[in-house]
Amino acid sequence: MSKCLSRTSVFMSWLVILSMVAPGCTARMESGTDTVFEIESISAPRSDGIFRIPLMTNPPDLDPILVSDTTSDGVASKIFNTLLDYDPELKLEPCLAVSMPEISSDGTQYDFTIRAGVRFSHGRAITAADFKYSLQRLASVRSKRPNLIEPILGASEAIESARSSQEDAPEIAGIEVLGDLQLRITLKKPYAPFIYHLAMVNTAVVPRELVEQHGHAFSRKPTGTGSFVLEKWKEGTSLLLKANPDYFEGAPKLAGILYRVIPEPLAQLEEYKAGNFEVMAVTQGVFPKWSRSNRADEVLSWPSLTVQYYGFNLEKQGSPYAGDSDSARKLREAVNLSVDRKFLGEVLLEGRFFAANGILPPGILGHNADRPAYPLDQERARALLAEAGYPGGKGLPSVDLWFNTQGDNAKIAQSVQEDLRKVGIPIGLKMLDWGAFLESTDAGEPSFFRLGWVADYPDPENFLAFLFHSKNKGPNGNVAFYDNPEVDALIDRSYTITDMDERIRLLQQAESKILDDYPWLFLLFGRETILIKPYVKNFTPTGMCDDVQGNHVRWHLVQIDNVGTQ
Amino acid sequence: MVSYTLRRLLEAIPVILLVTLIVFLLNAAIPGNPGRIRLGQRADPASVDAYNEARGYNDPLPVQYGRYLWRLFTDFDLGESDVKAGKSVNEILEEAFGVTIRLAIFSMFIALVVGIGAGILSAVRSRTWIDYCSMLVAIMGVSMPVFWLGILMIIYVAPVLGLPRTGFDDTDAYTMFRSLILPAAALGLLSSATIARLCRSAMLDVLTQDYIRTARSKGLGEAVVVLKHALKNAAIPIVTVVGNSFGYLLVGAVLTETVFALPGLGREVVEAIKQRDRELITGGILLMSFVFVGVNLLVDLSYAWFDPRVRDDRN
Amino acid sequence: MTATNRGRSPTQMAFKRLRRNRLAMLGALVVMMVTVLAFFPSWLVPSHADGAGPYGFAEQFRGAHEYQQPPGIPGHPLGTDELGRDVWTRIVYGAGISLRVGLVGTLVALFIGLILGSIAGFRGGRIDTLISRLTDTFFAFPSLLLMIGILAVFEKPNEIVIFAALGVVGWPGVARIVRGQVISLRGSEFVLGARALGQSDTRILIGHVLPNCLGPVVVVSTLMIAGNILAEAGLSFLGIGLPPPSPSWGRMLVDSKEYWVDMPWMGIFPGLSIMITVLGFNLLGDGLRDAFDPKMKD
Repeated sequence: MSKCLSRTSVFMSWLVILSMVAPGCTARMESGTDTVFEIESISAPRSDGIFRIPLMTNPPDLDPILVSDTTSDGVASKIFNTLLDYDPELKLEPCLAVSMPEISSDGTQYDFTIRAGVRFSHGRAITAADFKYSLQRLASVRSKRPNLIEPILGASEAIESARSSQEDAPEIAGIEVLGDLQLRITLKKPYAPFIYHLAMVNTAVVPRELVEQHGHAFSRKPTGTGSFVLEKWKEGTSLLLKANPDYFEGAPKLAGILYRVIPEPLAQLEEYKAGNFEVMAVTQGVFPKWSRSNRADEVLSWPSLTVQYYGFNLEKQGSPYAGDSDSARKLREAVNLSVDRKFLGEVLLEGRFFAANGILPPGILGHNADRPAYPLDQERARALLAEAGYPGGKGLPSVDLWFNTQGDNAKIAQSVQEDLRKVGIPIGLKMLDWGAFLESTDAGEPSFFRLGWVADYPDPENFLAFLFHSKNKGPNGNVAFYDNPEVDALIDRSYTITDMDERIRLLQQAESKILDDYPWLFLLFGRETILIKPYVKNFTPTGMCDDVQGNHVRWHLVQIDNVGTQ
Repeated sequence: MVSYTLRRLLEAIPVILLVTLIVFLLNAAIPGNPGRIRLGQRADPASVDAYNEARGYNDPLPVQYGRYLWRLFTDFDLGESDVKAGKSVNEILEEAFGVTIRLAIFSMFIALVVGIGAGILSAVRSRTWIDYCSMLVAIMGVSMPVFWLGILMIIYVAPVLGLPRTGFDDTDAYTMFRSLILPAAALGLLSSATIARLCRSAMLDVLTQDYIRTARSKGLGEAVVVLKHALKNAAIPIVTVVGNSFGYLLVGAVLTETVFALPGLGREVVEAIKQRDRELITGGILLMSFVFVGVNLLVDLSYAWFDPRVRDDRN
Repeated sequence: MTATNRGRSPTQMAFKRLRRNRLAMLGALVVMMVTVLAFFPSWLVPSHADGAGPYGFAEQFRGAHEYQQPPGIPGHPLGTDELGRDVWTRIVYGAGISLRVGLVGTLVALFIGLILGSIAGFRGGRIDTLISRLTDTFFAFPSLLLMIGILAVFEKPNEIVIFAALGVVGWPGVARIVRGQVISLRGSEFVLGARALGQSDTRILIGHVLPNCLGPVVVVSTLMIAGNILAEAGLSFLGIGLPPPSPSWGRMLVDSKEYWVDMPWMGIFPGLSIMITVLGFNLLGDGLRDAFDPKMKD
């Protein structure tokens, strides 16, 4: 279940998921080449122009400052807009801003001009003051994402003061309203990735009067500038969005979007086949069959910016894999050489994942396409095992691999366990609920654990800094407790460098250094795969898409083609 | 009868208090920090603490419990969800309970029809293969994992009968009825076995009585005899079973609701436990227990009403 | 068992009735078969050269796209599962797990229920009231949710925690029955006689009263085993059952869910195993109940 994997990974990252890839890589399967299966599936759009999407869970929150999971993000990003957004090539482009910001030469001052005449769906026009208010809300106690504004001058103080004052939008000095439509953001010090934060739904603009009127319930009655407007929300059942006819980029072609919550993927598929959904996320067992069927043209697939890994806790007392001794490093390398990633990705997960060759997945700047994926080399693994002092695995204590219940995790874990057993490396399996699992990994409890990372923005810094910088040990993302001063230094230096190529080169160096230490069992990079009815037009996943959510799809252009359907 | 009713009511009070206490303790024992849940895993400790302080989670447990009871018994206020910002637990449970109670009643109806049907068939054709088969089928219903049965129904039954596969559609009574047929059937089969057994036994008991023979000799049709006399006598134990199975239905609904994507109470509470949404866990389990205690009370009272001996026996 | 020598004891009568009940005998047969599977799994599955044992990986298919095989191919009578493991092997080894969960969960419930129920019944008075209200309370909980809650406290589900949770949920049923039985026996001749002989309460309880509760307790236990096996499957479905790679039947069902449409054998066989086993226990339990309760007609 790619859906689940992404969802779990996104919780992992504290920012909202963004995934990217060049649009040329998205491809509908060629039909008619190798048709083996006949699938009965109804393909008739609803006449009322409603686009129907299944969800696994109810979106917990639609208030931008509370959004922290892909489901909420997918819905909220249709209701709200941000200053910047991604174009189909996944470059940042202006959205509610007229143009890309003017950035001062020292890299700390960002000047925005807001697009004139854009209105909230309740009618009022947006101003620079709305942005100031919306960004300041992120500093409140309730915010799930104070980190997003932390680089701004005066933000740390605001976050601090909000703790005692319980203010909803504490004043931040670094956000200035220079005119009706003029906004200036000043950073404490240069922080190149900051600009990506302004394309995340958490920084979307909200109307102050409605937030204050509804209080906490704004999350249940969100109002923004987006292409769709929340019409009806029966929590746990369904959520109906209605087109916003006054949307500033033009009225949507769809009349609305209807989400229905169906936790059981099998039931989702049955509903899709019955013609009750326009799209659905492909789960295990679906992809090989559908792509070789008369319905092959309904399969749509694109690589996503995710990496799946099994991390070693390098600071865990008593774990043979911990520490930077030669023996521990050899053990970790042996583990990396024992796993059949090709089987995992192509066979077990039916081509929805592929073998990783490092940390940065394709699509992320700095991904090294020349490095081969990790091979399966049991002989070398056995040799390393012997060199590490455990010939044939003799004397090597079994550690538990911890993973959470969702998706394909159990399958992958059992297969990895079997692979390792063949080489002589014993592991046990421990399965936990997501919440409990995350708490234990944050606390550094397990010595071996499954996790994934989904890019918050298409920049290598987002992977390397959070997952490997020693200042982010523990809950901030470096749950392997990796600590390498050389890597830290390379990452730190990259912040101050404005030249993009130079920055990427530094971060690539950091990646190679990390790879040499084998802090992870590097496993898989992912793809997103969905089924989509042939009559849907203009659903072009820009690569920022989490399966059916269509994050950053231009939803106002998506169309249901009533002509020429079966 | 009045004193018996009063005594049963009095007995229910400590039960309800104990239920609240146990749920409350259970909740406190479930690890997880409400502030961290609300504010996100990466929130800084000070904000988390501020949230917990504001919601009273930092107070000593007895204080929290006392406050909870006070709110509960003064205006049945179950608090606010930690996970769903701005939603009160009462609101969430009200919506969910509406679904579950409809599902429970509908499946009880199906259980009764199947159970009584199988029971009558078995009794009338006692010790023939019809008897064995109908009892076997009834017990089979209770022997299947309900989620397995549910998914098989979605795959194989729904398309054939043209029923909605999942979801709860309450646009009008007809669509609601249709969307509940499969889940109610899957759930109802859980209780039909017990009802069938009791019905069969009670019927056999009655069928051998003199007055039935008299009725038969008067030339009345078999069906009339069975329905009029026998079923009347089988009614009391069946009422008891119906009451007792109600609890089973509420429990079975947890799984059924997940399979069929019904926004019911069971699914809501399971989600709440997984997400560690404290107030919702407490509220949901309490509500279910209250319903259970209430139904049991009604069953006991009606039983006593039918059969005066019950009242005396207990003294 | 209290050996009474006057003709046929109630227990003997009951077993005679039980033997006449064909459905109950069918149930007993099923229970016996499952027990054999559980205790002697290696009799029924080929041993694996690579020592894969209960996990039963089908090596020859590993790496091939056709590693998920339908029933009937040589060596895999019930086909292979989503990871290419032999379904039959896993079902055979799963019998032990299901039976263990059913049995031990029931034993825990019996232990708590017998103690509390007999104390309540035998002592009466305030202690009885207290225990009775406690029983009512635990009865009032939605059992599956209570179990999920208990498992959530321990976070990491393992067999012991599941046994305990099943016990906590199951004991009130036992306690109620035992209490009722003890109360009805409390005034009987042999208890009064034993008391006159100066025997201690505990001795009377264990030596005279409890053996006479055996019938109803056996009935409720048999049915509880069935319920516990189903409960484990339900917990697996909600993602909180036994962790993989345990071949528990519930886990087998849940793990193969996505394949049921196209490869139905992965769901059908574990599902049938649960159904047949639970059916067996249910039939036997119902039969026992009819046998011990002369009011029930057969």
